Amino acid sequence: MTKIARVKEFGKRVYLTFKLWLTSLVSVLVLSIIIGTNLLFFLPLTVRMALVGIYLIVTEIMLFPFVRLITGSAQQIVSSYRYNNRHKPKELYLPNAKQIAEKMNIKYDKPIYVTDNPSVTGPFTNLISGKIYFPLSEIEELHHTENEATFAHELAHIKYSLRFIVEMSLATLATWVFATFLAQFAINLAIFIIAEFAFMMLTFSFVMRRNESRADWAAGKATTPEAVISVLEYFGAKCKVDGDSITHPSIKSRIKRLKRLFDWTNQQPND
Amino acid sequence: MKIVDDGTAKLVMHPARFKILQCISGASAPLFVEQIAESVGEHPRLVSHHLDILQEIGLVNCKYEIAKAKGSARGIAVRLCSPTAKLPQVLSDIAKAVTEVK
Repeated sequence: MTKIARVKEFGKRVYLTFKLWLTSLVSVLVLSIIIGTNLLFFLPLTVRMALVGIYLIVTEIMLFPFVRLITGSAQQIVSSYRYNNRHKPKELYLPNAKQIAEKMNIKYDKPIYVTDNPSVTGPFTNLISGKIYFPLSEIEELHHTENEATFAHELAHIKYSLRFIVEMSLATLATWVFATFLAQFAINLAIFIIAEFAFMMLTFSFVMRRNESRADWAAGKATTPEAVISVLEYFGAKCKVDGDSITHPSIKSRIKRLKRLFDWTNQQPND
Repeated sequence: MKIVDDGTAKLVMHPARFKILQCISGASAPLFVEQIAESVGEHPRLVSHHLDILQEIGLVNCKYEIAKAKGSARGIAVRLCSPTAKLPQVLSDIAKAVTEVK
């Protein structure tokens, strides 16, 4: 990537972050007006509760992309979408995909989509369309057993998508309950926003990291833990980071957890 | 370069696999999986996984032998790994390619 392209990319990210910060701020202001002040005193309780319901949906829609954006995933998806309009990803059927899907008790007869988009650095799943995307570099640089392990990891995200959505909704609900509790005190609005945001980040991060661990575990069981660990080592070396983020636990801790599968036990992570 | 075209270079460039190859190529005698694992600081099962791949692409020869072990009268099966004739050439090709890129 050239220097100009990097600056452009950075600018785009800053712009999108700022834009989402604004929507997030508006969302919190709406909440504070609904529950924290008496500006809406003329509205009956049922209408106020309906507004709270709308707020819950709005936060779910607005704050989730915001968290994704910070980690770069949303930017990756947006960029990938734009790129894919010009360069269609190639369909590829992994040789053992069907067997892996059967082993995981999930029906999956689609191909995987291989993209040469330079901003896609790792595989990801579009939970809405149920499509799994792989960067071309990974397909080329890893052994087929390791690609199958990655596929199993992504498939686990599809398998556990409903559970993930429920958990995210509960995290949003917890954030809202926390905000309601906080609004009972006459505190500065700025503190309110920061406290709510910090709580939201903590709960969302917990749910997302747990989801990743669950997918690793399922992939290790469906293929082999060695292959999953090998993929993680490859990403660790390629990206030169430990991968510790809001959405993903560090590579080191993921590998450590997967090594538990060597001594086969049926326990679930975090259970 | 052939190793780039047939995908060998990409598979070898995995950090753990590269360390294993260096360990095997530098040894004077065939090594056990445990010996390699200790030398590269990886779990023996991970080393086995990488050895399978390296064997598949023809860089490592593996054979099983019975070795004497404490507490076992019959001995235990161990996997002995040695480099193939192709390995030194592949490693030197990779070194050359890396120098060119630098």
